[in-house]
Amino acid sequence: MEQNVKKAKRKPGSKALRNHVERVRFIIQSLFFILTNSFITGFLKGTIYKGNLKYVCVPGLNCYSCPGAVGSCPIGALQAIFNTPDFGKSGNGLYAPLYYIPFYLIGMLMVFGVICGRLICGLLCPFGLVQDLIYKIPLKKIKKVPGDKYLRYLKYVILVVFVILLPMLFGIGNVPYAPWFCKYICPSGTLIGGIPLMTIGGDVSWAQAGNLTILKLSILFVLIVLSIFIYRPFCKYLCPLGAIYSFFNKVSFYKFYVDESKCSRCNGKSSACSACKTACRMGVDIVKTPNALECIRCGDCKAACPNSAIVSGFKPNPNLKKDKGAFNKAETTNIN
Amino acid sequence: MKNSNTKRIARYLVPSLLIAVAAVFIYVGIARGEHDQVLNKAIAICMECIGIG
Ligand code: SF4
Ligand code: SF4
Repeated sequence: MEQNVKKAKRKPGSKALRNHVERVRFIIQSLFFILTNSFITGFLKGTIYKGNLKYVCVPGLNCYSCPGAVGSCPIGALQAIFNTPDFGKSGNGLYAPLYYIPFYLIGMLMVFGVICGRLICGLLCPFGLVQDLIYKIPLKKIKKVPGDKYLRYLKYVILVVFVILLPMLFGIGNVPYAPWFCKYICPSGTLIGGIPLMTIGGDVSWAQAGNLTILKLSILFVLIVLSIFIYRPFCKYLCPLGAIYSFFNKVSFYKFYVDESKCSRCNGKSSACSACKTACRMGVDIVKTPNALECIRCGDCKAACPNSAIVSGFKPNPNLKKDKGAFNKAETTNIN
Repeated sequence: MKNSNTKRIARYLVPSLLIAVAAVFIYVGIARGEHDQVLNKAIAICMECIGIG
């Protein structure tokens, strides 16, 4: 009975429905975080998991040096391969000329990307969850970041320079090769790896902290403060994993569709309706670009639409008569 | 009807092909021992990654 009343209140576009969608997303994000960081001994003893599950990467940005992590971080693992320039040349080298290409990781990222696209960012990434939580702090939000349009390209530059080129080509100091992104940018490693490990004081302690620690803590601090005012600044501007998955939004099984027969903006009934656009905190106009690079598939637009014109799923909806918006004219990606 | 079926198959075709390519990549990677490299990196605390130093 009570359940039915609640359902009745969740009308398309209502605040109740949007809150419900946000709650469900938070539950899924939390459960996935717990599942992939469930090595309790690590938290108790200040150590990390060393078992075979770490052959496989988790889909999100989850440092493998987090005491609870039971899988590998795809971005850290990519750099580990790029840090091994003679990989494949000797010993197990079957494909010497292609030794630089991390086939295993590209394959794994393709599987994640082709199935989900950036749904991974919206639902399965721990650092996405952290930013979502910080953004809930009720302070005035910055909706329009100066230079936003250009800053969005920064994550692609970081992917190419810090994840691929620098780890592949240069060493730092006496250390011949290094994971440049992890070392100089990644806030996830500091937050869920460094701080808990040093605080628990098992394998490492705060006594070992130095200049690098200060740098990484500063980056983390800045990102946390920015996340109070700007929605997911790290995902929008810096994350190389988000940059990789963004390319899959267009070809993934999981997609968003706009039913033009229901959308009042599409069929010219009300040119003023922009509920979906206003609801999107990633700056995407889903009606124009249902598979935009920046869409993290959070579902806020879907919940905000008063006409239920936005649908999503792993298979194309056969009942959708006019889903052209999703496939033809509006496929040009517009990074807002 | 026929048209919508063709459309639906086309929509599945690209992702399915990409999954097949991904499977080949994973196989080649494992044959080269890349998975061992991933594990080796992941089971030692990465001091640089967590900002110690
Ligand atoms: S953009 Fe990066 S940090 Fe943000 S949710 Fe996606 S993978 Fe996670
Ligand atoms: S377009 Fe919709 S699903 Fe995509 S990020 Fe914006 S609100 Fe979320």
